[in-house]
Amino acid sequence: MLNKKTSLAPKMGMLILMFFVAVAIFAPIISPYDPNTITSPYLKPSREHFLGTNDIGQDIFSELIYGARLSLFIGFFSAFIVTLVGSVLGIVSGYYKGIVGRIIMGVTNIALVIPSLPLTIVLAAYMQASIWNIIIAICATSWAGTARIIRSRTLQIRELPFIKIEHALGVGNLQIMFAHILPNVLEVILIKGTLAVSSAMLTEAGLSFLGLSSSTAKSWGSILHYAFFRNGVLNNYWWWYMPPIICISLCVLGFMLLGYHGKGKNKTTNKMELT
Amino acid sequence: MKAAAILKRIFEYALILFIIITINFLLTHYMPGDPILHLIGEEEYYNLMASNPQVIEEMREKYGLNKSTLEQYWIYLKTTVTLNFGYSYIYKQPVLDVLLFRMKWTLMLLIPSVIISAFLGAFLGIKAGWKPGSQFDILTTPLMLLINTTPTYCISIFVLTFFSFTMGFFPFGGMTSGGLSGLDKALDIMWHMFLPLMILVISKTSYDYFIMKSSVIEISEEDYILTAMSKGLSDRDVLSKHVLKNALLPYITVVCMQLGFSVAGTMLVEVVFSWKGMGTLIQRSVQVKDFPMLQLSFLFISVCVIISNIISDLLYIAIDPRIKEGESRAQ
Repeated sequence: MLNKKTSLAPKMGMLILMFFVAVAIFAPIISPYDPNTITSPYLKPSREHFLGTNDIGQDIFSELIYGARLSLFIGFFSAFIVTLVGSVLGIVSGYYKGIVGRIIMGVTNIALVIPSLPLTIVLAAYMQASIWNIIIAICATSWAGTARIIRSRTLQIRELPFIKIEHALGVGNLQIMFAHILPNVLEVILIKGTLAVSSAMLTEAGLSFLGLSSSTAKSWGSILHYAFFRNGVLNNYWWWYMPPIICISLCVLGFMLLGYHGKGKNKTTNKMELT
Repeated sequence: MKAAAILKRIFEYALILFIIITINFLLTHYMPGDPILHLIGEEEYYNLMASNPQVIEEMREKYGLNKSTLEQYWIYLKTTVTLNFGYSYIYKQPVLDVLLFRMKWTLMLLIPSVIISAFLGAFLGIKAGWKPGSQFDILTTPLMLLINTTPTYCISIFVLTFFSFTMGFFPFGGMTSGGLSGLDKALDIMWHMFLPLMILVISKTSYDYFIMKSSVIEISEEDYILTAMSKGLSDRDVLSKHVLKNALLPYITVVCMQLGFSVAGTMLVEVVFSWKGMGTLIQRSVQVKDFPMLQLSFLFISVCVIISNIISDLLYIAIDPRIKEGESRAQ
């Protein structure tokens, strides 16, 4: 039973994600309208407008398809930066146990205590509303978790005999870190990276829902923002507020299922993941 | 040894607090835009700019913005330590007063939800973790995963439309209907807080559930559980005497820590239900760019996180006999 489950979950996750990625790539082909074209507002779902139109008369179905592009882009891009920074800091601080490692670890521990959502909101509020500033705000606050896990992995690996032998042979530090330790922590990095995409997407959706995103950027979160604050919910226009909710949740679920793959396979990762 | 560990931890937290105050300082002074604009608000700023710009210069003088950065920093630290956080230009009140009033309403949601979900999550987590693959586990885990992956404000919107709009069981949001007093008022508030509280309980339960489940599974695989089983102890005894004792310690500390981080988590739920707590305060402050209010909120939430970390550390030290000095557990 358990085996079947662990192999099924990542496949389902992969399937969901491939669907969304395909939608994002082929957005101009799939979407029936340009999401910025304006027709009559508050139309109900019909043959012309599959999911109706929003408060200023834009086709919601097309908005949603282009939303996949922006939401996934922000998710992947932030996760890439976060994972890169977190992994490098983690490996370096785990490898150099001395003063360098201690300083990096100290900063990481502090960054872990600082509540990230409020800080992200404050940062985003101070900067002009734009996609890039949201990405900056997400990156600035979420690298610490990755750094900590990669560091504890590196600490284990650096004590293994093959690293000690390399030391004795006089292999350079950089080469040891990035040619020999890195492949051994790659699995953890990939898992953390997968989960980082979903958490970045969640943060972006939350910020956009609060109205911190730029008004021209159409992500799922900002569609939901307008649906909620322009009375789409009060009037029960389900075709407006339900689709972005489903897309966000399904996409996050996809990343979680994919992340589970490694978690199920490796007990230590599983343990660290939850602490 | 314990005292030294506690002292070290307190020093760490003091340092973190100091860094957060510094971040706040850097934000006002180095983010794009005139610091005066951040202090008095956009509208006032442009009004003054047009009518008499010398008032702005006077303010610059008053806030010490002409002095060197270091001096400004020193002034900022002094005002912060004396709890003088400035004036909200939206509420026309000191920001601290506004915040403390709002905090009361957030805690009203937060504390019950954390406690209820701690029990619920533990109960369900133990049940699923003790017999992984059982019918209960197969039904509960995907459900919890679904709740866990759906953002709370999405669940909120869904629940709000269903129970308030379609069924008409609950109000559309807000906190009281007004014009009531005594018991009626209390009941009315409870009626208003039922849905947001439920959603917080559900989402926190799903989080607690996975922590408890994985920790029970992990402990079940330990050798001493096998020993206990082979001694012929009943399932119930093994569970309550061996598994639970070991699983509860990390669980309690995680739940405690959650208390601080949840202040931010309730935020979006509050916005959906227009519950006048910290969350709506922050959201409104963002919209109108009430920076003194935002800064204090950030500082305040950080303090909550630090306090809950301290509580969880102390609990850990108090409960766990094996705690080692200097062991880093900061989350």
